[in-house]
Amino acid sequence: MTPTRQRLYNPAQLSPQERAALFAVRDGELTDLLRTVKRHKKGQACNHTVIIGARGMGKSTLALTFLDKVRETKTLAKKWQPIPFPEESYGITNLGELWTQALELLSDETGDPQWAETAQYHFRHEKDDARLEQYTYAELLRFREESGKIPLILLENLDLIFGQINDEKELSKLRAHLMGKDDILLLGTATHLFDEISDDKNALFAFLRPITLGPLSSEACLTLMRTIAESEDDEEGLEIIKSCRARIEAIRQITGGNPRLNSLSYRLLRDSPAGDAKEDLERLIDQQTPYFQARIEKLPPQARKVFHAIAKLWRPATTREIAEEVRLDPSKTSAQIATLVERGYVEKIGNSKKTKYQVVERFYNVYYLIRFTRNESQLIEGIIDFLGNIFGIYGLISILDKSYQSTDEIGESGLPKSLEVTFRRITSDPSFKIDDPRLKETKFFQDLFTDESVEGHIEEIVKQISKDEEKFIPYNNFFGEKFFGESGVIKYRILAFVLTMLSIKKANNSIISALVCRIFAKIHSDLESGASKRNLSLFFVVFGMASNIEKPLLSEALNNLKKQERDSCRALISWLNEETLDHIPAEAREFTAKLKMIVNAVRTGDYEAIKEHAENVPPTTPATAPAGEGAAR
Amino acid sequence: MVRNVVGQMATGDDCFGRDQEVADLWRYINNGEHILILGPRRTGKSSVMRKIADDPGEKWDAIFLNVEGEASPIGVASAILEELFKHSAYKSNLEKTALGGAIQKQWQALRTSDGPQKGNSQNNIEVIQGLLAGKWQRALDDIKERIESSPKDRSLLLLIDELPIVAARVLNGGTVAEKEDFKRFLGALRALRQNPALQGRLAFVFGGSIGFNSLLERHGVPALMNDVSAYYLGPWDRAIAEDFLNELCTDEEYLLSDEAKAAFLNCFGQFVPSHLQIGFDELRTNHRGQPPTAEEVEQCFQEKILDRASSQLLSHYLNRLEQTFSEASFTAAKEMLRHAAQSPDGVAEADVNVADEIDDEAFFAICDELRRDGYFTKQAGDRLVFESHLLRLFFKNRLRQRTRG
Repeated sequence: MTPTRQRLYNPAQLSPQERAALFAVRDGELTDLLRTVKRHKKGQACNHTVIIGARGMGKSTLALTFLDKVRETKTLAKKWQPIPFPEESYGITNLGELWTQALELLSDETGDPQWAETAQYHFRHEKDDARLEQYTYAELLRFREESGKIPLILLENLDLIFGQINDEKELSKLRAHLMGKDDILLLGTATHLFDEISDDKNALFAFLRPITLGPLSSEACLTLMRTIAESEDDEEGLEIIKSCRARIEAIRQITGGNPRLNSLSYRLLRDSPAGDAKEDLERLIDQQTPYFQARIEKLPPQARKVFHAIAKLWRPATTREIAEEVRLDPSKTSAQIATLVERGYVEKIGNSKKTKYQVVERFYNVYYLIRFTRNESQLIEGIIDFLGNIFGIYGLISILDKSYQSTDEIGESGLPKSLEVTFRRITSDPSFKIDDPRLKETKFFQDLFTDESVEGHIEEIVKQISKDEEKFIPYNNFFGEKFFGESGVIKYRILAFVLTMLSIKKANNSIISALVCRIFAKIHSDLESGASKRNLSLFFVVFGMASNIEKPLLSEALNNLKKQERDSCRALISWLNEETLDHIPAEAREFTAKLKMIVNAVRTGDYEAIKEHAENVPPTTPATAPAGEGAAR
Repeated sequence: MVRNVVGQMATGDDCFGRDQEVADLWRYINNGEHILILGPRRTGKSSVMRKIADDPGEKWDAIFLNVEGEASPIGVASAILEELFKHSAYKSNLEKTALGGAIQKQWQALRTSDGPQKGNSQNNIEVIQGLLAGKWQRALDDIKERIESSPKDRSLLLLIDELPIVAARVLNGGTVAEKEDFKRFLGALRALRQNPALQGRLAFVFGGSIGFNSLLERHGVPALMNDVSAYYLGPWDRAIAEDFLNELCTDEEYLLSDEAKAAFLNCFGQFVPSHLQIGFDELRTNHRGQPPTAEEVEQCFQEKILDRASSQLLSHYLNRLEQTFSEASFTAAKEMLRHAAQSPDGVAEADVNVADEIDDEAFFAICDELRRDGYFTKQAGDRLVFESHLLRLFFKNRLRQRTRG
């Protein structure tokens, strides 16, 4: 098969066959459009439609493929005459010019020059716009009558065209032409629900049926990538797609499910799965810069300002946070945010009580950070996050040592900030495994796993996060003895110490918790006794709850407990989150209650209370609850 | 066969479930009444008017036109004449009126022997306007003349959509002279309606998405339309909505289960055709393969349908009140809507606080208008209760207040 050309920005340049070969997703929307024309009966009102979607979502491809299908289907070709306008129709400022161009394009479509000749005659001779409109519209109706076909007019960037016309009377006249008749079927495209069709003060309010192109689903994204690979006869590409599903999903998320960006990212995936991620990112961003610049310039000044703030924040932010960043009144900020959401620049995350906002195209947000932020931390975080989403853990691990050896600003852990961010990103990834061999191959981890380096790091951490060293020594001893009994192994003590630091100081626990995880894993593999393992795990869980250690680490520890203990701990977690504990069996409630007291005491740093409660908690499991009596979930 | 036509006037078979309304209106028309069909935008007024115009029966010549784009009496008058000239029954009588004869001559003068026929256009609005020379009275005189010279067994039914919008545009935003001119125009239309020689020979049906009478009252001319009977076009009742949904599911080949259909209708509570059409369209978009279950319908309503309706349709319900009411009344109306929206059970009238300048009479007038226009149900006594769940949720979100700390 001859590889098919791709025209990501100009699908109109492709032949119908090429478009069909690359038409991979949006089948549902195509079916909707075809249903509109198939079910139409003579004399019935046409169902005028506008396809709404951000740039790159596939509006043009869908609209043009639809017209191709109309032409190819005998019954439809008899009834409908496609008249696609070019994507940019800057010359249309009134209805007369619109119909004039429609007649010229009609000649192109039909091969009959009379329509263009008529249009040009009127355009040259008629200086009055209203008369030009009358004559040219009448000619279109004459075509309708003589051919028996309904002109199916495709107007891309309908919002721009209506904006150019910018005359309520003209648009009312258009409405009068289209309303309740089947003289013309109008199909438009637009990047958002623009004022002329969404503001009830305007003539065309709620007049066009919108088809909104949302982000691609995971399955659709895979289909798109496979289609590209197949169109290029790329067997290797197909294999990569099979093995990189997680990364493709990450790409989908970072690109907001945008088909054009997914198609571009396919190139990255295909060509450099193990390449220098940062360099590839820069190349891609460089490619997209003119497009990104144009997008920003379209916004009115205040909306641009708010967008700037949201992009700088990178992470989803509330209206209040954005308002503070931009130094605007919250209600004004809210109005600008609504505009940005409506125009497809920003998306809502979460429900109405805790709604947050972020830039829709994460890829675009990275470009923004690179171009506009001077805050190195934000920039590092943004890039690392993006790289993680595009390339997954493997990509991040490949830059871990670079970060370890970098001369970036030092973070709270005493290690470079970029390393902290990278490490946190790696350990919070759902696919992260404690014993990932690729991780162990990095210099950073090799340094970490030697005993001296662990102790050395912990001492460094302790110095960084605490100036009150006196308090910690007794607790180190206490917990070491109480929970680990006679073993007193130094590693347990270190663990206890670190966890105590963590919980009492509520330090930046991402890197510390990761270190703890390393230590825990190391200790875990050294343990011989099942009882000790359980105690250790219970200890870890309790401190984990108090310290808000990330869930994957907690889950690991929970798995080492007996069912009853595990259930109690899970219930305790729920209780701490103020949910009900009614399902706990009576026998376990006392145990759970005492655990809760310890956790609360640790959280508040109440040293005396920790000591008091810990002394009374047996490190053994409670009695097994009788079966059927409200067993813990 | 019924199609789910979103955004358009429903024509032919697509105009569903309005047989009773059409029958009612014909009864009033044949009784010699003039009608003002009222209701928010997209509730089906134009579709009903068009249905009447498409099947006027033997006695009537029906003309339907939308004047929303006009900004002056001359625009409205020209639009009426333009439609009259297109009407086959009127064309045959064209030369019988002085104006019609003049227009006919003008059109003939426009034709040339070279190239395309310029005079082919169906819209010779400029010719008409030129001959009217800005004097709308000529148009009204011509209409009167045409009717008087028509066969006695023929009557003219003029269905004019969105005249109240034009009125609001001029009366709220025009110069003093423009406002006075428009009032005179409305007065002349009234005179035409009241003309004894035209009784039973001329009927008007107006369609309006805002409160015409309130508007005229605010501008000191409440009598100008007091000879026109108001007809409030309400939503479908449940039985009709169910029939519509059944037929739509069959014709669109999208077979919802009975439970899903019931859930769909229950979500809405009030059955405005365009609301259901948007809902069906959104349901279909989000569940393309397998039609949704009842639970999925409810979820789609909360997550998708409400959002789409809010952004594409429902803002009109708030904005039209601003055009209808005075500033103080509008603020009071918003307070009522905001309070009532907090709960499906609404709010007691007595529990709504409004500004002092709104006395009891004004307060209850606002309540009555909101009930008449379908915001609140009429079945709840002295409570203000939303009939439409969609509207309630929309207003709850749109009119929410900040929580003051």
